[in-house]
Amino acid sequence: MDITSLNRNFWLENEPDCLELLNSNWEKVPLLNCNDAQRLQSGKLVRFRGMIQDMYNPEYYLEKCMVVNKNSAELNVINGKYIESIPCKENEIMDHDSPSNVTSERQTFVMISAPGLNEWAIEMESINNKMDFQSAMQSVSCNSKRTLDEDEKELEVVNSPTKKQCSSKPAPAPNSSVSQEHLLNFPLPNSSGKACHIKIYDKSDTIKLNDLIEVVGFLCVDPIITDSEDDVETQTHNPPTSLIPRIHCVHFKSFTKHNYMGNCVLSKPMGVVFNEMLTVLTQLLLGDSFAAEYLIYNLISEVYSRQDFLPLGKFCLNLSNIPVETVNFGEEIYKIIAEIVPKSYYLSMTLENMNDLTFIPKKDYDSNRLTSGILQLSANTHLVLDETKLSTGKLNEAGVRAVNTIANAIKSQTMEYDFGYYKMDYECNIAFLIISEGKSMLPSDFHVPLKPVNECVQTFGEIVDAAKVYLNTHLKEFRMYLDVARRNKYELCQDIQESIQTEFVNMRQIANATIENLHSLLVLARLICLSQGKEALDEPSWRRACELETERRIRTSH
Amino acid sequence: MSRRDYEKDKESLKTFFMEFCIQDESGSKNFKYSNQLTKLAHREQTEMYVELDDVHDFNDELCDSIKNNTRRYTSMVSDIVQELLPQFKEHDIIAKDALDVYIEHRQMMENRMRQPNEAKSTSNQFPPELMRRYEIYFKDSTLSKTQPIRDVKAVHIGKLVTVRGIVTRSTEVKPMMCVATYTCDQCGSETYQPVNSLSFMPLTMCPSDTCRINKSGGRLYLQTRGSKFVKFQEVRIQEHSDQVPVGHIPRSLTIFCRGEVTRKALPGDHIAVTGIFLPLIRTGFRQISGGLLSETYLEAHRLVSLNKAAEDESASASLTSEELRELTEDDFYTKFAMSLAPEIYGHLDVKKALLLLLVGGVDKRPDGMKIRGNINICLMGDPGVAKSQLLGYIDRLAPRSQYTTGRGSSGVGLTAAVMKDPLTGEMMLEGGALVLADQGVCCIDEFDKMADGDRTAIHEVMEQQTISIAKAGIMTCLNARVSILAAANPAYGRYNPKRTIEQNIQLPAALLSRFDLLWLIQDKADRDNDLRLAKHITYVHQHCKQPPMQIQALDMSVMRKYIALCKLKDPAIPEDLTEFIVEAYVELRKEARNSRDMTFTSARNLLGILRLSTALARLRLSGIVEKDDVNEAIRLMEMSKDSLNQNVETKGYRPPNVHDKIFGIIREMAGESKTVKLSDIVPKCVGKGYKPHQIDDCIEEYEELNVWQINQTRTKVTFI
Repeated sequence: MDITSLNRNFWLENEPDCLELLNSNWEKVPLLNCNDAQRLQSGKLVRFRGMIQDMYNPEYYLEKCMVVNKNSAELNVINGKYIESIPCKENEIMDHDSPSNVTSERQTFVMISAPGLNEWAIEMESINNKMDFQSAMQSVSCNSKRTLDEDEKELEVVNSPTKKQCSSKPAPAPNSSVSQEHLLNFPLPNSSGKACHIKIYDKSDTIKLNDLIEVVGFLCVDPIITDSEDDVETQTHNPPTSLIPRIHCVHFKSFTKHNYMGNCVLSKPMGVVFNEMLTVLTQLLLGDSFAAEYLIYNLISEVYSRQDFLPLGKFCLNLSNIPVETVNFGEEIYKIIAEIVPKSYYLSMTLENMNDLTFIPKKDYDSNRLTSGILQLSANTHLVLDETKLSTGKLNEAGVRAVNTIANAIKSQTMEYDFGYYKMDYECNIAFLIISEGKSMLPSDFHVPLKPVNECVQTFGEIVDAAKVYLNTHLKEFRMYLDVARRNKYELCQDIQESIQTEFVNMRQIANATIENLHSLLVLARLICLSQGKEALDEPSWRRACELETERRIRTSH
Repeated sequence: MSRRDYEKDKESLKTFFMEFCIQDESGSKNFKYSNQLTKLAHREQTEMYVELDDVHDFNDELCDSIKNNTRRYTSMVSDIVQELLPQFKEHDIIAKDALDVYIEHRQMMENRMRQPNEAKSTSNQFPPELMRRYEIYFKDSTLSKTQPIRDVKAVHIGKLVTVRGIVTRSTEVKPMMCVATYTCDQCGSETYQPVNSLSFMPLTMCPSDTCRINKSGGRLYLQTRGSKFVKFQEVRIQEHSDQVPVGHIPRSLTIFCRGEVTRKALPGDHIAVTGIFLPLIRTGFRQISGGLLSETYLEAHRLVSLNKAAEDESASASLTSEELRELTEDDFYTKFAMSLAPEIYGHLDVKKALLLLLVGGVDKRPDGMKIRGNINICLMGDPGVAKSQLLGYIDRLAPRSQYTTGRGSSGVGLTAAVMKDPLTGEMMLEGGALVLADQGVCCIDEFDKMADGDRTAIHEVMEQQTISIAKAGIMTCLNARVSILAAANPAYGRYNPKRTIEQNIQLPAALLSRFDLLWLIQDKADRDNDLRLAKHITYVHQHCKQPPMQIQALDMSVMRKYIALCKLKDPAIPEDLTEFIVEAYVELRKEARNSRDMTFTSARNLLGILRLSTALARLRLSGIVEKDDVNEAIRLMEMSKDSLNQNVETKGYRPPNVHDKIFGIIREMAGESKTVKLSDIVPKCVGKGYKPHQIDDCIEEYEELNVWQINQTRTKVTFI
């Protein structure tokens, strides 16, 4: 049975078998992210990856509905699952009062492509999943995908009549009073991507806001009737399907750990790649290898656990002492970072940006949805804040609130979304990197003042060019490395703990270290181990962490 | 399931209305519903609430049936009332509005027109809705709990549910057509059309016999005056933040209010609504395309505005026996205290004090004087000793609390502000943090960084528990019955044990004495303690959870419930304990006089002991304060004093000699400036009882130490 040609009725009849089939053929389901919804067939299975942006009220639908044929008075029970509305033929009517009707509940979520997804990741995704609609168009594909492409070509032939019908359909006239931007509701300004409404029938409780998931479900791009007379709410909740398709989810998976790299394997030992990366970043950070090391740790850091209200593993790095005369240090660094991490965003903290952009997601009661803000980011997104762009001036109320929210997110990795009548905390998992002249006004876990080497400052332009050339050959390796490092297991063994404890007691005696110091040491030690591919904390890594922190303390105190 | 015998239900409901009565204390019977029916008949009352509690007493099976199929019973009761009403009419009523006159005329006309024995024509009958001038509602039984909006599911369709939420939107109240009345332009007869949904299709052709038979094609025209309208309002509520699971978006629910239920709520109000959960059947085009009951609403029967206090009460009601057993275990005082902020290691006595702050002492009002029961606590300490985390935890745990920082809040932000309403231009008061935290806890971080002007506002709150406002022509006194939990950093970065608290925190004694307990949390290197701390943290990093304690931490919701339960108690201090307390206080005073004390012991401390001991009694859910409570209260107070004084002995403290004291005075006089005139110093020191030669000696001694210099003419002392 071909997964791509499954239809709803077959699925409903053989649900367990189909699920099994789906699990073994997961990759073969066409991915909506990189394929045009209009080109996919309505009523067939599709895949979509993205972030849960909003959750609407539950919908009630008739899971079983009695349909009466007007001509023959024949009674039929129709299953209303996985479909927008009960399909009634012209000569049939629904019997609303039939006792065999079963009303059930389904959940509508708004899903958008992961915000801040970098170009290379989008490209990789489309290379691996792009469907070949026009055989003339040659797509570059991985070797492993060859068979898939052939399958799709077959499918193409079968579906071509319907497809043409689909594409010839005129797009619904833009007569609505709400703009496309309003409907798409992306967190980041000027971002491309897709949005869709997914309808989940069970286990929807396990999904949280901002979760990254991959759903498989029946696509629905049938035009719906919209009336421009409707109020904003109805229009927002029933956008044209050409813009925002509906997916009736049959199965979903968490998508947090996806690396966008396919099944590549890191060919070199971790330590070697670490050193290569260190060399490049040292040059980029104006010859400061100490700061470069911290930057690598920042890139592989994530909040790996939450204990009550204390996030473990957060690693907000503040690189200060940036020579401002060097043009666009922040932007250049970001460009390199964007090349190696899948999701990132560069925020130039100019006064205008701080005052004017929407940072905090806010509930809009007129259209009854959560209007997104820049800070609505999915887990493991790298947010680079460039404070060198900040000039003196007046922050207005919104700006102050934005700064406070960012500061809170750095401290506790939670964010308060604005619900008008009250605020609610949502957990986040964002790696922050702050670039500033002096110590940043935002709090940070690790503050590293840069020690620029003079020659590097003068030749920064050339360094950047050289780094780009170097990266071209090493990109894949670096991307893989960061992913593997983050994914590896890590353990804090019992025997090393003793030495940590004694070390801490000594530190207390000499330098009067605080609890926070110990937390950061443990986080740093963990990242040192992970960066070297070790699975458990050992003595040298712990020593290294202590050395780094001591050195850093000396730097900050000067 | 066999179909219910509704005829039987109708009969039993009829008897219920006629016969249900409550006996009051004097033994006289109060016919609750028949009295109301009389009022309805005379148009003195428009809405009648059928309380399900009463129905339950009468016939519990019927009550369940009503809950499950409320709409049917609503119309059934309406019919019954209509049948019964004529019996209750004792005198003629005066027509109150146009519709009354209309109804009267219609009835007269019908009686006049109709021939006896003529079969009533079905088409032009008066719909019962048109004649009704009353509204029937059900009041949910008190036993049934309010449900979170999230839990109202498909199974509740058609049933009576009670939900709580915050109003996010309410439309204007508009008239909604209930019965449309038409007249025919040909035959003049009236046609009625009952309307049950939000929209309706107006009739155009006259259905009367004359028009139909003659095929005259009479056109119908809508008569506004003869139609019946009801008030209609759409309200949308949203879940409270505490009902939303972590990481989810609050859900909302639409409520349709009709008639007397309208105009009960404004956006921002907390409300409880009882109503029937119904699908919204779309009409016309949408219905054809839909077939999907995507929209639902609650048809409101009862809408009550809640204040937050009422909500807290309802939360406390349900402490299961299992939880209670857990709470009544041995030594649960310690266990409870340790469950506060389990992620913060140690500080057991501080946590005990915070627990008492949450429970609170008993308010007393002897002869109009008010003695507060709320306990105020100030936490001081070196940076990085988790003061803010403790505050944050208390803020989360307390059912009503406000968190603010001294620096971030101006006096207005703490007390109240006079604002100009942008719409009406009226002046209005907007409460600040202290007002909003009324009957709760106000956590103020960075207390020391507060501007002087703002601090004065707190003086009143901390003792009188009110805030007086005299601004922009508004003079008022607001309640601020709050417990204040403050955190302060020492003035010199670290706590200097050689200085007094006032100098360390730079807060005036008047303010400090208002705190019942002052804790100094110091960050001292201590081998054993540090080792345990390190173990704790490494454990957390290793296992991503709290290390197993001897005692399992209690759940936050259980703690909240228990604290709410404690607050219901009002323990008294028995006569025979007063002697003991007085003695203890006298002892404290004596000690304070004799030893060098950095704190002060005043009558406020005595009140503090009383407050703490009543809070301890409350915690035991006891009505009487026992000796142990007082002992524990005194112990806590002593511990808090010790935390401030202890370092003095350990650091090889040398009691200040005369010269040191004089130096202290001069230092104080210098203040910000570097120089002090000798002519100022001498009178001041003499005034304090020091001899002039002692002053000279002191000046010389400190000059030798290079602390200051004295000029040649010996008139000025300059600090270096």
